[in-house]
Amino acid sequence: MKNKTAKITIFCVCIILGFFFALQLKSVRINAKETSQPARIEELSQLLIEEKEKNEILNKQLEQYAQDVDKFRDQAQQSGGYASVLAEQLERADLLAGNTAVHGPGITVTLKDSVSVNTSGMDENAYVVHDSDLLRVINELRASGAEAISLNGERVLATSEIRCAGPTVSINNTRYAAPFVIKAIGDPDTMEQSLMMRSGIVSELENFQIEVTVVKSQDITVEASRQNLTFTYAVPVKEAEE
Amino acid sequence: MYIVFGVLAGALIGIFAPITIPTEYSPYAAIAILGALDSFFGGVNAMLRNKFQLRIFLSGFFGNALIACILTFIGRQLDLDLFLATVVVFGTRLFQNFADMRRFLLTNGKKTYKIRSKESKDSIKD
Repeated sequence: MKNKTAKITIFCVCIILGFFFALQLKSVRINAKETSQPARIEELSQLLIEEKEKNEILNKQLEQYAQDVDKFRDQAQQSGGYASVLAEQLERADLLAGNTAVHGPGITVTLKDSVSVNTSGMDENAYVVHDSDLLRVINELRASGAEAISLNGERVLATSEIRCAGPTVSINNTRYAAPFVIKAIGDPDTMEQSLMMRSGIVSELENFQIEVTVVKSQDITVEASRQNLTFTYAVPVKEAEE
Repeated sequence: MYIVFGVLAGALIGIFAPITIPTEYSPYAAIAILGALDSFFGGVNAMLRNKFQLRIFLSGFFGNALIACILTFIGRQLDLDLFLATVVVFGTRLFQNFADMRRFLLTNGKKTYKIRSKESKDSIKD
């Protein structure tokens, strides 16, 4: 009967229609989620730009406040008495903490990534300067009496991190790429000798063909720390009063 | 009736099927659905008047979907929204079929139709 075929066909078509309709809706929703990723990336990079601008503004404020503090300090020194003693203590503390630029005899160590082609089939990473290499050089310098150290213009403080961040190294939350210039003030001869020791750090680095240059100098300048550190967790231990 | 049941069953299968239509084919699937919907209404219309013919229905069903896809494809190549023509035409026919069905069902059409069936020349859009 015509009508019977009709009904069966219509029923089958209904099922097919429902199937494709649901499939299409599902696919569109899933695909929309995937294509929204690029939009997310745009959104995130926009946020990043905004944060950087805020950072700039805050940095300028910081400079302004630092200038004000300097003015107060000068006043304190001039006014004599207790205030000037305190001011001198503050200056000394600043010096040791790394808040002032210092100059004196010292040594400059430059590390460059190897330019040679990787022929031995070893891991590519070995031919690049790593945070561990920088840390060991700085450690060696400290062991030989360096008093002030800076890496690519960033003063290395007790709280400074030196860490790999992809192809760059992050120090004091700023990224730098090779070549890395380490300046240290101290006795130039002692520092040079400890670096160039046989099977010391320099010969190890040169095994991987990382270019290391060590230059002594009678007077180099180590920059001041640009960070304004405050301790949020560490609190001074007060001596018990008897 | 069973139409609703069929659609629901199909929809459930579609929701729980582990496949998805890739993004590139999404517009073709959409327009094919519209074409299928249009011929579906034509088929129901014909069925109501006992004039259902399987050949016409099937050829219409697949043919419409195919032509719709071809038009969309050509439209993309020419950067001309040809699929709009398809949408307009299928939409129009859908509403026309629907109007015919309504008229048929609500105005004693079934009864008068059996009398007039010999000479009828109605406009069923298949």
